[in-house]
Amino acid sequence: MPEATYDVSNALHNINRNLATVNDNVVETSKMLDIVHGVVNNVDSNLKVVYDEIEQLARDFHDYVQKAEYQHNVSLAETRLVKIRQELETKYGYYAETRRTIVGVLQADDLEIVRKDTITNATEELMISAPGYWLAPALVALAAWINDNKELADRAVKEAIRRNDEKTSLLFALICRRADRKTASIKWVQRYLANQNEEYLDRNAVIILDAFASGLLGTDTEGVVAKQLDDWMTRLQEKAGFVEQQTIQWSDAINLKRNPLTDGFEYLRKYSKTWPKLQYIMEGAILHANILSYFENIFNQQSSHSALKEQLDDILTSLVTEFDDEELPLRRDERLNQYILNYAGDLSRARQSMQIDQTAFDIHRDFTQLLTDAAMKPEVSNVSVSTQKFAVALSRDWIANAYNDVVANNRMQIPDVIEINVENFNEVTRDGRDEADLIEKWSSIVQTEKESALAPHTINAFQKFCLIGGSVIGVVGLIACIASQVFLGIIAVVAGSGMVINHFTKKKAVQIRRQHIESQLETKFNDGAQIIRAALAEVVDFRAQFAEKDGMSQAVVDFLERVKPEQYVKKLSDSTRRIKTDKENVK
Amino acid sequence: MPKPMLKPQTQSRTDSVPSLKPSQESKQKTNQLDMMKLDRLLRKTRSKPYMDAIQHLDAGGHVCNSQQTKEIIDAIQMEFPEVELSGVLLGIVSKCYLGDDYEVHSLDATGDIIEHFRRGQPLKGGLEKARAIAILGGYEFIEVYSDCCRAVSSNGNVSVIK
Repeated sequence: MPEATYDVSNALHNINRNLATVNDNVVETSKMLDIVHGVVNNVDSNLKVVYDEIEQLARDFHDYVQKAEYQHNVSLAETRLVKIRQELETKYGYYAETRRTIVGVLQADDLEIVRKDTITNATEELMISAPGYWLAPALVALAAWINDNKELADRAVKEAIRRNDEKTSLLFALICRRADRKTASIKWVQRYLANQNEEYLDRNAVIILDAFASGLLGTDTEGVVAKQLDDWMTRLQEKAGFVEQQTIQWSDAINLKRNPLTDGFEYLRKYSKTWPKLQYIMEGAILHANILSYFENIFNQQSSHSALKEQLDDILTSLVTEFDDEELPLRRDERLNQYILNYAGDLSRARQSMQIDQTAFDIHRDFTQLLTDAAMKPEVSNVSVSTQKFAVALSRDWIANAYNDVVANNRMQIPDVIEINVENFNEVTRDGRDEADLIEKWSSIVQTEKESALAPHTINAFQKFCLIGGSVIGVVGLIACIASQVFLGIIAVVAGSGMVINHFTKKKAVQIRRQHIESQLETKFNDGAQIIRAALAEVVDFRAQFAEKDGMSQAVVDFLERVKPEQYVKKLSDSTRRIKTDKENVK
Repeated sequence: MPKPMLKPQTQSRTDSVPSLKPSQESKQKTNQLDMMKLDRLLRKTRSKPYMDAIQHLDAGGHVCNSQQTKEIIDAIQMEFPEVELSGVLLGIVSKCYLGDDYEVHSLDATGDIIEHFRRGQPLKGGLEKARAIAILGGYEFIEVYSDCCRAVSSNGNVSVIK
């Protein structure tokens, strides 16, 4: 036995020693792995350096190529600019001279420092050297007007109109405005507008209409401009689907004034599946007050014309200083090449600037779109308050139609009944006044739940039997003890007592569980009832608040009815009086 | 069950009541009108006689005689003499003031029947969609068309609900 013990001990010792050797080897391997890891890291960082350098090299190369390309673009643009300017000078040199002269004539007339003969001579020479150019006879007409030579002025104006009716009308409208000849100015404006396509108005036309609405172009005593606008409206309205399109356009513009409803009705938000619909219609109802205040604000504002006067002067300046349509392709090329020089050969930036130039000035809108934008998006359309009033007044019937549709579409969404959803309670209410009924239904749901929850928690037949059976066995045991069967008697008494104790223990446990369930469900009922009552109260509030806010729509309709289009279009005879009249009527 | 105020008596009514059912001639007439033009026409403010006629939908209480129905249908046709509404106008729904739990009444344009509906009773013939707005919208009545509804205010103004 001791030998056997010794052998086992020896073997265990050997195993232990071998394990230590293995452990040492593992540690050694781990150290070597650390070294390899360090080397790999080193290689990795070296590689990163190489990559960085290659990247830098690629960047440098790219920059070099780009610089070369930019340099090439610059030299190409310089050459092109020279050629374009030569061509412009050859083809349209006299245009520029005419333009310089008209600016000079206007300034000279303002200052009264040049003899009238000098003006006449200068203009007549230009008339001969600029055949076909509309500004040349316009210049002659201007000089004849200054010289009080009506016959020559008439003939020259006719020729200028023949060459370019639109530009001549605009030029004389603005010159007359400068000279404070407003009756003449308004007639020229009418002529200018008559040359416009009501479905494709450019930026100048928009500014002119803005100036007209502001009374800056004089007084439309004869209603010539108003008639022109009426003609546009009539033509547009005759187009199939136009009025319907207008209504949609205005409805969209009105709906832009909707604001999201973020506060209030916390219970309905949480406990009603109808809430999204309720939220939508309430936002639609709040819209009425927004729209009313928006329109009232427009009509209560005083107009400021200083910015508009500057814009009118800008148009006049550009009309008499900037190039004409036939020069456009060359001028565009010139501008692009100038941008290329400005941006040191960067073609994409140059093209971007050209695009911005183009979109800023090449904006065309139809007349009614202009009215919609002016009335509802002044920040985008950049028009004066006068034009906003004018646009609202002129579009009044379309706005009223669109507004009535917006109101009706919102009302169409009014839910007949509102859902209340609390856990497994899903009922509806119309006006929130059926609290007793709904609480009764909730109570019934909780009661049913309680019954089914309590059902499993009763003592079973054996546990019930334990009370009687245990008592009987105990009594039998006692009798047995008395009858000298002490051992059996004691066993029976103990067993009987155990059974009775088991009955009461189980019964107690069941009672506790039932009490717990009852308490839980009572809490659930009370919490649910509180939520239902709160939600019903919110339904009452919601219906009342909706009715109140929806009722504001009538105020908007009444307001629009009080805006008389003729006050803003036909009777633009006295701008000062007109503003007073607006307030009296609209307030 | 909703209570039919006037049963469609095919033969006799064809003689006495101008029906809104489509005829061959009327189909051609409708086809001639562009839908856009029809929309524009149906946007116009409703006349007083028309408004008065529609307001009489429940004037006879629960009982509506054929004469009343004829007058109402005549008024509709007088209002739009240039257009045939059959197949386009499904009916007219308005709030009911008969009391009890009557909510709305309707003139079913296809059957020329005036019916009064209690709470919970669904309207027939595609008119149910106008129920809530007829009760809660504050309009005088709602004309229900195949593609939209037109809510008519007490002053005859028309709002289109797409």
